Order: sequence, then C-alpha cells, then structure tokens
Amino acid sequence: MLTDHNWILTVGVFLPLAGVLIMLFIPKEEESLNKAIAIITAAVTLAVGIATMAWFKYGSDSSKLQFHVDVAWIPAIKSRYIIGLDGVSMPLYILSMVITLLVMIYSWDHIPEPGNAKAFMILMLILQTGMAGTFVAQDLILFFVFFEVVLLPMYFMIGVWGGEQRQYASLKFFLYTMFGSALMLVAFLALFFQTGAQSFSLEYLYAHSSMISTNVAVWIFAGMFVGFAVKVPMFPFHTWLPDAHTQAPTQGSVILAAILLKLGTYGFIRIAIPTLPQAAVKWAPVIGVLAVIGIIYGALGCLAQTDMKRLIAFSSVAHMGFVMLGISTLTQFGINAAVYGMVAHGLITGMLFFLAGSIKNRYHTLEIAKMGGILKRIPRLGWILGMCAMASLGLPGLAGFWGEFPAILSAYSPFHNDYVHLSQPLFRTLMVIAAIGTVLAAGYLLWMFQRVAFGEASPLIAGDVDADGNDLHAGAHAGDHAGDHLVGERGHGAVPFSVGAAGNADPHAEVHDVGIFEWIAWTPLLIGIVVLGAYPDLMFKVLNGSVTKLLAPVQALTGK
Amino acid sequence: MLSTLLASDVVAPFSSPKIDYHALAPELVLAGVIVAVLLADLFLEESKKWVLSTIAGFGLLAAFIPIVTLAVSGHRARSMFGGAYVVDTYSLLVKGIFLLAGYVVVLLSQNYLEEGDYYQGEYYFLLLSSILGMVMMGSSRDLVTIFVSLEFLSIPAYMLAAWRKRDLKSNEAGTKYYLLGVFASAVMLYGMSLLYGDTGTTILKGIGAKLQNGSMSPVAVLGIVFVIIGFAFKVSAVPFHNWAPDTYQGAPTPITAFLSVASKAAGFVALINLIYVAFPHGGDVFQPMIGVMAASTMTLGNVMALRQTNIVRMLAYSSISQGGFILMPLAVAGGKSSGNALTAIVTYLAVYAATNLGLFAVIIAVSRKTRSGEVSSWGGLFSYAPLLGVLATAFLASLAGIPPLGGWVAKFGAFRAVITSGTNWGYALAIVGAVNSVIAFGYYGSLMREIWMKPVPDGDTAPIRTPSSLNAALMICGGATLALGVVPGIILRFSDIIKL
Amino acid sequence: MQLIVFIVATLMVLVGAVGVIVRKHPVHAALSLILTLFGIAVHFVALEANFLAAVQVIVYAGAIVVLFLFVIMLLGVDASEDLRTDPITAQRPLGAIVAVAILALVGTSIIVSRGILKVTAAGKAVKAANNLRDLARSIFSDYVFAFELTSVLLVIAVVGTVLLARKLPKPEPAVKS
Repeated sequence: MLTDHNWILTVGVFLPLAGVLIMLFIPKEEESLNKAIAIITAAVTLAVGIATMAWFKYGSDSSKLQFHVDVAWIPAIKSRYIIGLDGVSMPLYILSMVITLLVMIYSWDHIPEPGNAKAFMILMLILQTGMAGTFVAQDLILFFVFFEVVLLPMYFMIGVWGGEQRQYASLKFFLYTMFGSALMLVAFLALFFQTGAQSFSLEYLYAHSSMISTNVAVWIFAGMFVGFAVKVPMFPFHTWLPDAHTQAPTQGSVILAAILLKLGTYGFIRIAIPTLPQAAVKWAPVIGVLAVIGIIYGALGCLAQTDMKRLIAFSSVAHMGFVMLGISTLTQFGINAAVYGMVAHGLITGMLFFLAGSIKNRYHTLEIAKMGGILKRIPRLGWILGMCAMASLGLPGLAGFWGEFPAILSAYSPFHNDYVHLSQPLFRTLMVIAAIGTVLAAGYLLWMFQRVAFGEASPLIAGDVDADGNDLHAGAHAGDHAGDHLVGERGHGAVPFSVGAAGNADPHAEVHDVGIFEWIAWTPLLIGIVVLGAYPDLMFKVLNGSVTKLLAPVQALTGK
Repeated sequence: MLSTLLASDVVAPFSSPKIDYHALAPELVLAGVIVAVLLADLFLEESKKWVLSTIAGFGLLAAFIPIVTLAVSGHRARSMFGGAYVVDTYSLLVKGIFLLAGYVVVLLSQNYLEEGDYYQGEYYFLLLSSILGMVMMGSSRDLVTIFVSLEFLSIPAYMLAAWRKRDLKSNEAGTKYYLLGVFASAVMLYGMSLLYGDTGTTILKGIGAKLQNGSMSPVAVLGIVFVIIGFAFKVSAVPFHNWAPDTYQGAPTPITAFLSVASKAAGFVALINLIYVAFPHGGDVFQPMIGVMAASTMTLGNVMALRQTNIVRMLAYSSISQGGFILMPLAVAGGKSSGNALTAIVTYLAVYAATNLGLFAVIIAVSRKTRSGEVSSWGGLFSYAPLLGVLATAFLASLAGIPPLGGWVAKFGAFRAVITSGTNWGYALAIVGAVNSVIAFGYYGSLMREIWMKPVPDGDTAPIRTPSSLNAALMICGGATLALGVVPGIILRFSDIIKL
Repeated sequence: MQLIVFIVATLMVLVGAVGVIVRKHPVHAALSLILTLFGIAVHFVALEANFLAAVQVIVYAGAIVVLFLFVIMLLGVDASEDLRTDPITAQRPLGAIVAVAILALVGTSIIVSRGILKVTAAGKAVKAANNLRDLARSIFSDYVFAFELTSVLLVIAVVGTVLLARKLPKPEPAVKS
C-alpha cells in the first residue's frame, strides 16, 4: 500500500493530534512552552503539506485521486478508511494548514480572555485534524466523522473565549450545525441503501448514482442540502453566522470564515452534486435563487451594521452566495470559480477578521461610528485594511476578483447537455441581480473603510477617550478604570480561568502599529491575496481537471 | 385423595436433563461468588469489609473467563432444557456487557459505601444477584426462564434503590420502583399466560412457530401486547416511564448508574429474545406499537430533560430518551433489516453502557466535593479539575452522538437499521431521531457550558481527589468510549455476527 | 354441574377481588383475598388439577394470607385508612375507564378467538392420577434451571427483608441529593 508517498496524507491529518498528546503532559502554567509546541506542530504539519504539494502530480494527473489510501476501517458497516487528494481538495487542504499555523502564531501574544493557552491551542490542533480530514476523506462515513469533529472545538472556542454573548452564540452555532449534520447523516444512509448497500466509498457512489430514481434522489439531496447549507451558510440558514462571528475570539472567527464555512460548499461539490446528479439538476434553480438572495441580503445586512466584525460576518454571507451561485450553475466554469472563490474568501475574510481582532485589541471596541482616521494613528494597519477591503469587493488584480467575477459570468450559460438543461432566463436574471450585489459590496466595504480609516483621528483613535467615551485625560485613575472595565466585561469577574493580562492600564501605550507576530501571521495571507490575484491560472490549472471529473456524472445525465 | 395422588402405575424411569456445565459456567461462577460474599460478610470484622468489594469485583472478572472460553470454543449454539436456555454468540456478547458493566458499578460503589457507612456485604450480595439475573436473561429462551430471570434482576434492584433507609427520597425511589415493577410483572405474566394458552408451549421457538402473520388469534395479539408493555416498564419507555426519574434521583448514585445502564439493557435483551425468537412473524402487531413508543420516548425524554436542574434527574430523562433510540431499531425488527436492527441494539447497549457509567463516575467524583446534585454545582469544573471536565465533556458528547466518540457509532447503527427497512415508516422514524439528537444537545450542551464557561459557584477551586477505584472506572469508561468511536470494529465485529 | 361449579367459583374469585379493593379495613381486605384464592382452588379442582388445588389452599390461603394478617395486627393497622386523597385529579374515573376498556378488549378478543383457538394447551390427556408425577417431571427436567434459581431468589428475599428491618449501625451522614 505504501506507494507514491501515500502515507503523507494520514500523517498530515493526524500530526496535530500528536502535538495534542505531547501537550497533555505539560502543565498549563508553562504557557510559552505549550504555545511553542503547538506552533511547531502546526509548522511541521504545514511542512508535510508543502511536501504533499511538491509530490502532487500536476497537469493532467491533477484530476486523479493521489496519495490514495484504501484500508479496512469498519468492515461491519462497509465503511473504509479511504483518503486521497485531487485538484479540488488540495488548495483547501493546504489552506487549512496555513490558516491554522498563522492563527497560532497570531495567538502568541493574543490569547483571548480568559487565558489558558494550553486548552486553546489543543482545541485548534483538534480543529485542524477535523478540517484537513474532511478535505481528504473519500468515504462518506469518514467524511461525516471529520465533519463532526470540528464541532465541539469550535463550540468551546466560541463559548469559552468569546465575547459577552458567547454562550448564546456558541449554542446557536452548535444546534444549527448539528441539526444539519443529523439530517445529512440520514441522507448519507439513504444514499448508501439506494445504491445497493455496497459501499460508502465516493468512487463507488459516483459510478452508481444512476441506480436511484429521481424522486428519491431529490429527497436525499434535500437532506444533504440542509446539512451543507447550514454550514455554508446559505440564506435562510445563515442566522447563526453573524452571532458566532461576532462573539468568537479573533482566532475562532478567522478559522470559521477561512475554513469551516468551506466544508459546506466543499460538501456540495464533492458529495451532493456528483453522487446525485439527477437531483442536483432539480435543485440547482433553488440553490441559485437562495444564493442570490444571500448575496443581496448579506449586502443589505452589511449596510445596516454598526459593528465592524458583524459587518464582515454579513459580507461572508454575501460572498458565500457568490460561491453557491457558481456551484448552482453546475458548469465547469462555475464550479472552478466557486472553488477559487472559496480559497480567496478564506484568505481575504480571514485577513479581515485578523484586522478586526487587532483593532478591537487596541481600542476595545469595533463600533464603526467611534472610529475614524486610523490611518493617522496606525497607518500600516490601516492600509492593510484598505487592501483587504479592496480584495473583498472584488477589485481586479486581487484574489477576490477571480472568485466573484467568473461565478457571475458562469450564470450566463448554466448547465445544459443534449437531454437536460437548466433554465437560462432564470440564471441570467440571477446573474444580473448578483452583479448588483457586487456594486453593493463595493458600497459597504468602501463606506466602512472610509469611516474607519479616513479623516481626522476620532477621539477614541487619538486616545483621548476610551471605548465607553470616558475622557482619559480627566483623572489620574482613568487608566485603572479602563482596566476595570475590561475585567468587568466578562460578567462578574469570576471566570473559570486565571484572568489574563489583557486589561492594560494605559491605552496610550497599547496603540502601536502592526506588531511582529501580526506581521508574521499576516504576510503570507497578503502575499497569497496578491499572487492569486495576479496569476489566477496558478490555481485554475490545478482545479480544472478535478472539476471536470466531478461534473462527469452531471454531464452523463440522460434525463430519464 | 392422597392415596390416588401417590398411587403410581409403572412409568418410564426419570432421566435427568443433560447439563452443559461449560455453558453454565458464568452463571455458576457468579452464584459461587454470591455465596462467598454472603459468607465472608458473616466472618469479617467491620474494618475489613472492604474485602467484599474486592471479592465481588474479582468474581465478576472470573465469571468473564468462561465467557471468553465459550466464545473461542467455536461451538455453535449450546441449547439446554429443551431449548429453554441457549448459549450462543449473542447471549455471550450481552453477558459480557453485563459483567463488565457490573464490574464498573462495583468500582463506583466501593468508596461510596465505605464512606457512607452502608452495609457492604448485603449490598454486594444483592448487586451480584441482580447481575446474575441479567446474565441469565441473555440466555433465556422460554417464558418461565425469562420471568424468573426478570424477577431475579428486579427484586435485588428494588432493595438497592431503597438503600439509604433514612433518606425519604430513597424510600420513595424503592417503593415506586417496586410497586410499578410488580405491576408490570403482573401485566407481563398475564400476557405470557395468554401466549401459553394460545400456543401450548412456553419455549419461545415453539411460540414463534405457532404465531404466523395473518393467522394470529386476537388472544395471541393481546398476549404480545401485554408482554411488550411489561418490558416497556423495565426499559422505561413512554408512557411507562414515570417511575424512572424519581427512582434514579432517590437511589444511591452507583445504583442509579446500575439501573440506568444494566437493568435497562436487561430489559432490552429480554425484548430482543421475545421479538426475535417468539414473535418474528408478529411484525404487524409490535412494529407500530414499538415505533410509536420509540418516537414518543425519545421526544418526551428530551423535552423533559431540557427542564431539569438536577443532574441525576436530567440524566434520568436523558436515559429515557436514549431508550427511545434503542427502541428505534426494534421497531423495524422482523422485516428485512432484522439483522441490522439486532446489531444496532447490541452496539448501542455496549456504547451506552460505557458512556453512561463514565458519566455517573464523574458525577460521583464531583459530588464528593460539591455535595450537591444541581447542574449549577458543575460550574467551572474544567478550571479546577481539568481531567474530570474533559472526561465529562467526552461522555456528554458521546451521548449526544458526536464523532469521534462512541455515541455516533450507536446512533449511526440505529439510523442504519431503520433506513434499511426501506419503508416510509422507517424514514419517518429516522427523521424523528435526527431531530431528537439535536434537541438532546440542548441539555448535554448546557452541562458542557457549566463545565467550561460558567464560574465556580462557591469559588472553591480546590482540586478533586478521586479514589483509585473511581479512577479505574473513569479510565475504563473513557477508554472504551473513545475506542468504540474511533475503531468501532471492536464491538461491531461481534455484534455483526450474532443471529437469533 | 360443571357450569354451576364454574359460575360459583368465578363469583368467589370476582367478589373476593372486588372486596380486596373496596374494603377499607385491611383485615377485611385480607379476608376477601382468601375468598379469591379459594375460588381459584375450586377452579383447579374442576380442572382435575388436584395437587395444585391443595397447594393453592395450603400455601396461599393458609400460609400467605395468615402472614398478611399477622403483619397487619403486628403493625397495628387495624383502623381503616383514609384513601380519599387523590394526587392527580380525575385519577379514579380515568382508572375506571381504562379498566373497563381493557376488560372489553380482553373480552372481545377472547370471544373472537373462540373459534380459532384449538385445544392445545392441555394437549396431552393427562390422567388426574398422574398429576403430581407430571408436575414433578417437568419441574425437574425442562424447568429445573428456573426452579433451582427460584430458591436463590428466596435467599435474596430473606437477605433483603433482614436488611430493611435491621437497625443501622450508626446514623448516616447527611447526603444532599
């Protein structure tokens, strides 16, 4: 079995757990040691990922499943440990490793309240295993297990290290996702039995999709649709997202936006569409319409937000709408764009959440109205924010463009073959509406950037008042007051963990420009945004072959 | 009259029944240990009573040895007493589950008893007797044997539930359990007598041969219904669940663990024996009945659990709702998914035993410090007892069915069974189950929230000392819960080959 | 003749059973129980199960009910109890309705089954004289396991009784639950 370095995926997926094992034996008081081990683990994992990239056969081979492992796992239920990497999974697999490492580096001096770096890092490593595993799993049950593994760590990440409403947000996140995945599991099982109860292997299911009658397939697709759509999240299942994002710690938001949301869209591309092509054609218009509603709704939602993080969260709903629009066309062009959009959104929105976190860290608020002129005080951070806002609105030359523009374009001519076709008028209408969505996106992002960055420094940014508007020059104890406020924010001050040192006494001392760990964490993302924007073919080349292969069952539909 | 009774004409000499002592070895070993405990209790001084728990624990492990030898002996089913008592792979598997669960309960009881000044000898005597009843239930294939096994496992349990004599709640627990249990026995006996009257045999296989779909007499239908209702009490299925919360709350915690896991599992084992051997063709009668029971049991159990503030009471309702999940595959037994349903139930019982006993071990450990059973007493557990916090989280996640912990395998099997049936009815049950597994997280999640996100209620963050027996129980259950989820093959390879 | 015996015995059983429930005085209830058990013994005789009839009279009517009476007298519960408390409203009417429904269900199913049921239960025509031997045979062959275990069950009952009756060595520490 050990040919073509196929051990490397297993190592890449489970290596973080080895780090967890080591950390279990280190007392939590050794904060730096814990952080260092976690970061080293993540770095080694990424090194394994880079080796995977190096060994990956590009060109026409990129459509094949590489590093394929197929060994017995649970013979009794005919589920096997099948993993493999193709052109669609590879970028997302690597992205998950990059993001985890960067988030950990960022965490070096940004462990959110109430501290306990050890538990925080362990949860991130477990998350990493779940995310990477989901992208390489080629067996439905294995996919399901990895898909679920990410739930609990994220629940705790939001629930323990989150903002004031963290318990509500974390429970909402969990219940929504769990509801989706319960239905998804039922759908998986139904799929298994409708194809003769032979195998959960995706390869087998692709080949036998025609065994299912369309009526049944439509229902099975419905189950998967709910499971994946909650995760994406698509309108009307999106309501958990703004709460989860707003309340999650920066690291949680970044991982959530950059990777977790992609598990849903990836599920559509990898599982729902190729295994149930006959149902996908029926559902495509529904998905398309919901996607566009999501785009417009997300954009309008953004315009109504006063909180920066909430604004970025709503922009996620809109951007994932573009991705879903691309997927709903069921064309090679559209799905290529969708995967590109997933990676681009991961980089850009991840970056935006980093920035929001850093601003919050400096000013203890994300109220857009209280900010203004941060270019005056912290110009580097301000310009990075500007660049990311531009990338997010889809400026040509930056990564966001190549996700958004082709997705809209693909709706011009949705899927059709000799037997089946999607409604052209409908999708062209959707195309026009989605295009309006990009205008709105430009509107809210530029408006946000303008209010935050330009103009004279507001009293808060200039350091004259604190987040509550108390005059910091008024009395000698003002600094202490700011500190009290920070601790008080956590409820009654009686928190489960030792209270960290974030309650800084002097806000003036804190407002420095981009710090060293921030530079290390952000530079790779910024480079990625620029490189993928300037040379999109770099990724389209990798994607295209696999996308063609995944769409083959749809192409082969005969309409019977 | 006496002379006519005693007057005997010449008859064939009595031939004693063949007894396969190897097959009966687990029961005989257990019976020996029971006597040993009772005798040792007489001669031991008060200060040396701890020996009894050791005897009980090793006795249970010793009874496990013949189970292993029987399993590897490769015999097919060993049938005794005209088919009334059968030792096959299925019965060996469930006996193994009972013995291991019993061992964990002994570990849980050890310090609880020593520190609480309870009678130890009688406690272990009754506990082992109840386990013996369960072990017998695994092999019972005859109405009389099933009834004796049921009483065998129930009567000691009634007394164990009322163990804390001075505590009103414990008295209430025992009395309620006793009265409703006896009532259920009566209903079940009436059903059995109807079945016997119709078929003329008490052997399950014989009953199965007589009861055919379509040609069943109303009396037999009534018999099936009554027998199932009798066991529905035992597994606390809605609407026969009323005793469970009060009994669980009032009984000593290790006994609550025992009742909610082993006793319940024994009820399911009896139901399996009856449905698979005696009523395989009675699907029209029991399927709708059990289906409705399963759906209402999991729903009502969940909804009630959401409102509880006492941990044990919450777990009582949780255990009711888990019972609904175990009933779910039984609702499609008899059809084409019979095999899957059997695998699913036995797997579920094993996973549920490991998980729930583990959770009770945590409860016992935590209440040693907090002396409270309220949900809020778990606040901030993770901050002062990280290991217990993580273990409790793992057990809760397993109960909620989140991979990679054991629970998902169990839930998966249950869903698989109902979906294989291929009927709309099966799909409907699967959807109800899916929705319920989400609702269930409402309360499992609220416990997790206490552990991780809430402040310590009284600010007392001294670490919790756990005695070594409790640690062993935690380790066994934690290891089993994780292992069953990551490599489910360890249970599925057995539960998949069993047949009835 | 058989019919008359049947009717009389059945009336004894039913009247006794109702008496157990409706008599407020525990001693009266226990005595009503004797009537029921005796009626069953008459049924056994009518079915030519003489040994069982004897056992029924000696063990149940003789030993067990006498024990009941002893307990009642020792505990001094000779005053009638007030059973009018009703924790759940409409508990009694509901119970009555359910009871009547179950009775109707059982009755109809037996009447409907009359034609279907074959006489298989007592299949083998057993001579009354061989009653005891056949009983002994089935107890010590087919049912020997259940029978022997019942003896352990009795030990359990004894241990449990001793336990519940025994005084605690020292007071329990207060355990909140």
